[in-house]
Parts: sequence; C-alpha cells; structure tokens
Amino acid sequence: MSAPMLGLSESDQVITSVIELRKVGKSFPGVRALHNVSIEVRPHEVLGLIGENGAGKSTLLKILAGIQRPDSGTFFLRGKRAFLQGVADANRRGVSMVFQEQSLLESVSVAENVLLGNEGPSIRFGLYRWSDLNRRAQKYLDDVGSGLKASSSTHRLSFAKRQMVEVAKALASGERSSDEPVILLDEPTSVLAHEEIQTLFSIVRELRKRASVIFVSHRMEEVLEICDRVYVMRDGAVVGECLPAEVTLDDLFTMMVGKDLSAGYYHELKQEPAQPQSRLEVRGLSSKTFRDVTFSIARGEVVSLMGVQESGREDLGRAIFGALPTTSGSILLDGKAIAPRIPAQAVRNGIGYVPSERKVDGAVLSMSVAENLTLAHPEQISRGALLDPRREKAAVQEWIKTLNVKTPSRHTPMRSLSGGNQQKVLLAKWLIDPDLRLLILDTPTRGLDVGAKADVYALVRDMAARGLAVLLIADTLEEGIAMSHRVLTMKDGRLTGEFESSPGARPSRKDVLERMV
Amino acid sequence: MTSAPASTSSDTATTERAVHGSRLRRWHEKGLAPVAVIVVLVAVIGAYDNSFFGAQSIMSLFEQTAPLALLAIAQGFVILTGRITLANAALASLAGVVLARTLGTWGPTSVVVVLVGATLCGVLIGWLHVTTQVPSFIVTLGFLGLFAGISLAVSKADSFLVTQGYGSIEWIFLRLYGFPISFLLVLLVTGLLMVVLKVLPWGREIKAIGLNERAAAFSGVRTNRVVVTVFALSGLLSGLAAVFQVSQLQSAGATTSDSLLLPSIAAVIVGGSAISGGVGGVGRTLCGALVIALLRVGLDLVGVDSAFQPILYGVIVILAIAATVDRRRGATVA
Repeated sequence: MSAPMLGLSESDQVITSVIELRKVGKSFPGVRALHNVSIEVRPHEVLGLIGENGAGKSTLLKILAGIQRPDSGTFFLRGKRAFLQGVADANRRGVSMVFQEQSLLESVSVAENVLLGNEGPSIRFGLYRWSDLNRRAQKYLDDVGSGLKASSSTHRLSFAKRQMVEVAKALASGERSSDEPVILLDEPTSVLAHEEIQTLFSIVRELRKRASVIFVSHRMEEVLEICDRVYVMRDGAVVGECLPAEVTLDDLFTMMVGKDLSAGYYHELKQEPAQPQSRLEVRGLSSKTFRDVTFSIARGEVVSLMGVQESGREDLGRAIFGALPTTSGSILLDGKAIAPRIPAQAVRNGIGYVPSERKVDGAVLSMSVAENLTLAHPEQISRGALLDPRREKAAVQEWIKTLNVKTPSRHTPMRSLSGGNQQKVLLAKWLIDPDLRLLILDTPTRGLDVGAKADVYALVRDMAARGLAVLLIADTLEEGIAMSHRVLTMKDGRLTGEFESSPGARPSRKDVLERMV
Repeated sequence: MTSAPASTSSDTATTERAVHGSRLRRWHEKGLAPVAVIVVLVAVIGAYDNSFFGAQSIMSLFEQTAPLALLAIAQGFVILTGRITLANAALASLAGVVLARTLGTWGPTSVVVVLVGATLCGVLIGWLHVTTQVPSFIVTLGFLGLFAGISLAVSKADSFLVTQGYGSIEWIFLRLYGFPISFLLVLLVTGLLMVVLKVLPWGREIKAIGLNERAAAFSGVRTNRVVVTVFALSGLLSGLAAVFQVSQLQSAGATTSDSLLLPSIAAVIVGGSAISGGVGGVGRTLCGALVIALLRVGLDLVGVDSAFQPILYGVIVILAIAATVDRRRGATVA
C-alpha cells in the first residue's frame, strides 16, 4: 500500500502482513489435508485461494477462521504468534468468515442478524434498544453497499441479499477488535447469478478499503477478476502464487490440475466450422417469459444463449424441449415442424436436454449408472419391446469407456459418482441415441471441477464436429463466448444481439455484456 | 437461475441414507427383513402350537393369504411410484358384490366384466390424479367413499349368497394335489409381474418416477401415462382379489374386503418397500403379505378376537415406517 506508516514501530521489523502462516500442516485420519503451507495476507488486499475440490482450500480456511487448529507450523496474526480458540476468539481478534451455507436466522430482522452475538450496547437490562441496534446495523449494511434496511425481515430476502447480510455481519464481528478486520469468503459465488456476482464484487471492492479479504473459489475467471494476488492449491499444498495481471486462464488451469493442457482449457483448436444445413429453426416463439424469439442453429453448430437471470434464456431452452408451454410461434427440426407438449415428444424427435440442476432434475441418484444412462432411450438396449441385458451391458460399457466415466462399475449408484462423472453419464444418456439431432445444455459445467469442465468442453466440441446442433446456456460469459460458433444475447425475454464467434475472432466480453443488461 | 435447495428431490435424501443408513434399514431395503420375520414367526407359532407345522395348517395359511397378497401387490405398485391408494379394498368389495349378483345370469362372462370394470376404475382414478394434480391420497380417499356407497346401493346393504354360476369360480379355492390353486395363482401373478418389472422399460420408469419424477420427465419418460397404467394394474389386481374372495366365501357383502385395506398397506411396508417410493418389488410384497397372514394366525392361536386385530396392523404400519424412514428428510409424502 502506498500510504506511509504513521506510527514507527519500535523494533526494526515492520509488520507487512496481517496474517502469516508458516509451514502449516493438518492431517485427518487417513488424509493429509495440508502440508507445509505458507501464505501471507497483506493489508487491504483481496487474496484469492483457488484449487479443485479436495485441494485443501476448505481446511486452510478453517484454520484461518479458528475452526480447526493446525497440527504443525506457526500462525502469526499481525506479527504476533497466535493460537485461535474457535470462531468466537477469531472474531474478537478481527477475523471473521462468511460461510458457504448461510447461517442467518429466518424469523428475525436483518439488524438482529447483522449484530447477532455482537449486540454490545444495543442490549440494556436484557432488552433490545431497537433504535441503537438498527442504527449500528444500518451502518454496516451501508458500508457494504447492500441497499438493505436494517429493520426489514430476513425471511423475505433473496439468496443474494442474504449473502450481503452475511458480509455485513462478518464486517460487524470483525470490527469488534480495534484492528482492521480480515474477512474470509468461502465460495461466495457458487449459487449466485451473473449480475449478483457483480454486486458481490463491488461489495468486496468496498470491503478492501478497510479490511483484508480472502476469496475462495474454484472459478478461475472470478479469481482473476476480483483478486489482487492468488494462491493456487493442489493436493494439500500451495503450488503457486501469481498476480492476475500476469497469468492466463490456461496457466492457472495447468497449475490447478497439475497437468499441461496442450489443447487449451476450452479446446478451441477442436472447433470446426458449422455445416451449411440448418437443423433447428425457431420462429416467433413466445411464452410467458419470452417473446417473439427467432433464431436457427445449423448442423455442427454450437450456439450460446447469454443473458442475466430473468432474461428468459433457461425458459427458452425448456420450451424447445417441451418442458414449458408456449403461446405462439413454431419450432422446426430439419425442416419439419414439431410442437412438443411434453419432453417425451421432444425426445422422440431426437432432442436431448441437460438441466442445470444436475442432482434434482438430471440424475436419479439412487439408480445405477447403467439405469440412468439408458433411461431416455430404452429402445437402444431392447430387442423388440423387451430390455436385452447383453445389449445394455455392451452399450453402457462402450459409453463409460468413450467418455472416460470414472465409476467402479455400471451398477454403481449415481450418487457415488463425482459431479463431473455424473454429468458425463447425463450427456451419454442422450448420445446413446444415434438419431440425436439437437442437444440443449443448461449450464452443463456449473459446480464442476475445472478438470471436469475441460472434459465437458472437449465433449461438446466432439459432438458438434459430428454434426450435432448444440444450444448452450453457458454458466459464464467466457464459457459462452469461447465455446460457441455464435453468441445470442437475451434481455427481458427478447433476443437482443447476435455475434459470430470463431477461434481468434471472438466477440469481446464488453460487447456481449452490453446487450445483456 | 438460482439453485433450488437440493432437498426438494426425494432422491437426494437417499444419498445420505445410503451412507449413514443403519444396518436394519439396509437389510430392510434389500427385502431381507421380511424373510427373517417369517422365519421367526413360524418358529414362535410352531413352538406355541406344534400342529402348525402340519401340511394342513400351512396350506390353509397360503389359502388365507391369497386375496390379501393380491391387494398388497396392487398397493405395492402404487407405492412404488411414490403414491398411495386407499380405494383398492373398497373397489374389491364393490367388484365382489357385482360379481356375486351377476354370476347367476352371465356365468364366466361376469368374471371378465368385473376384471375389465375394475381396471377401468383404476384408469379413471389414475387419470383424475394426473390431470387434476390432486394428491393420490385425496383422490383415492374420494373413490373409497364412492365405491363404498355404490357397493351398498348394489347389495342393498345385504350379504349376497352365490348359488347359480358358482361353478365358474369355485375351482379357484380347490386344491391341486393338496396345494391350494388360489396360492398357485398368486405365485403365478407374482412371478409374472416380477419378470415384467425386470424386462420392460416400464419397470424402470416406475422406479424412476418414485425416486425422482422430475428427472424421469426430463428424460422423456411419459410420467403421466406410466402412473395411469400403474393405477390400472392396481385396479385389475383388486378385481382379481374380489374374484378370489367370492370364490372363497361363496358370498359377497358391501364391506367384505374393506378390512383388508390396512393389512395390505402393512404388507407392502413390512415387505420392505419405501413408503416414499422407488424402492420395492413384487416378491417382497408377497413376503410381507405372508408375514401379516402369519400374524393373523398367531393372534387367533393366542385367542385375540379378530375385531381387535386392526390395532396391531395400525401399530405395525407406524412402527415399520418409523424404523426405516429417513428422518433427516422433512415430511414424508403420501
């Protein structure tokens, strides 16, 4: 920081870091979660912590927050050796954490939540002094730029607003100490929509003026966007420290996954030009949430549909799949009009759909890999009307091999698979049909590890190269732009823009974003 | 789109169930528990009354089980989809009354008429349920009243003795080389339905619907159609149970089968099907029916009046579900 230090320290050791961990290790029965981890947190910086699931981010964060104590190594807090005795102790010393699972009380006001356990002078003789409580809580709510009123009730707030309350709460408890607080954010964006993430980022930038922020994520784009400095973790160790300005997505990916990705994260070299024949034509399609949508997808073409949360893009995907009623307009597949009223009719026409809620709408978690893989197209494993176990075995094993699904056996229940492998099974469920013509993918990489994401990207490229039309409702702007032949933008239920996109000639994020908001 | 809480799916609950489930629950879900219970019950009853091990009493036990087993299987299919039916026993009573009244004039044809009619009643129930989206519990509760009323009207609240035409159904309760034909037929039906569940995609679709109806629909399963066929099958089996019962009693009254409602649900649960759907089978339901029938024999032996026996069935249903349900989940859907 450029501001000169006012008070001269007595010793010649100038305190430059708020927190410093030296060679910290932590083991659980059978697992070495962390070993030899040394990091430092500097004043007024947003420090990124990135790694795949299981890399040790959560354990490290728990040690920082005082929830767990390291087995070895030393913990310095503002230059002094510290032994945090739990969350409350950490709070007292100005370290507070915003948990991934929200912890707000539903039935009380926002103010009560913000100052929970930190009421101080706002309670006198065991009674709330409401005006004082609201005034103090309001200050923190304003500080984080939430635009919320302290006296409003909590249970009506959206998920994103609740998170703002959580941040205000963390700030409030962090500021109990006289020093500047450290706020830990554990994967705060994982369930936020794009515009909510932007709001969160502006809050984080606001926080930086008076605190240090540690931002944990497994989304590389976000870390590059918001952080001043990034530690990359893998297998319980810090494998890299970098400045976002100096690294690319592919660099970060290579560090996280630990193997060189010659094809690039998005496998852009695999993109082949779309074929001339049109596959899907949507003409003037309308429903409750979108109006007069007209576009087409050619064979072998990946079209990204970008838009903010209420833009209607998910609903458009569902309507083409017959899962949502339309009010007017027509859908043509290979020139033939179809009007699916239920998904079963779309499926019979060679349309597949991967929903964004993988575990709720996509997989039947208690059923086996084989049963999930064949649920949509039993005719592919039948002889006449009867299921043929031999055909089933052959088909399922072939797809498990083709997509490199990591599963102990085809009889393993879906719930035992990792998210990435589940998603591969859900993609294979459609690919098993040789007559598959159109695949609608609703945020197919949401919640996946970067390695699994790259696998899905490679798969989408392969499918397109074989002539399949793909409608991609992308999770992030980067993904939508990098994966597609064409980007369509939606806003308030209408198509607002169209951009050609090919390797080396991608539309800019700014241009696309402008049409979305 | 913000993510909905994952717990909205009945299926995500199973995730934890598998990981943390008690041994009892895992046993139960494999359908092994009822077999063990049968062994214990047979041993206890045998110790109490040695004559129970005689071929006669075992055969008569099988005979008594037949109508209950059919109604339990009818219920089991509906429960497999995550629904429940309260109308089956009342439908069987109605079918019995109609059969008893028409056998004299139509002969064997009336058996066909009753079976087709019961199937159509099932179709009607299923169709109303899926089109109106009224919970199956409510729809079938309504039909319970409807069937009971019609039964009373048709029978004029009197028990009806079958004299003419009884020959066309009497054979069901005869014995073949000492083995009751009725139970042979039940075994045949059980075996047939087990095979059907295994080899038709329909069987998987039923389970998928019971476990995660949204995922099934998004996979192109015609969920409404499957549910209607399940209710149709359930109606058919209820009609068959009525035929068995008229054959056994040579008479029919407006409420003859009504008392089988609770035991048939108890049989499904005791057999090891999950009340929330998706887990279960035909064979284990037959085992459950045998457990209930054994209990009945045991209670008779001890001298408990049959009027009090429903108390036990009620307790069994609640205990069996309490012992096996996943309590981390919110409310159980019926």
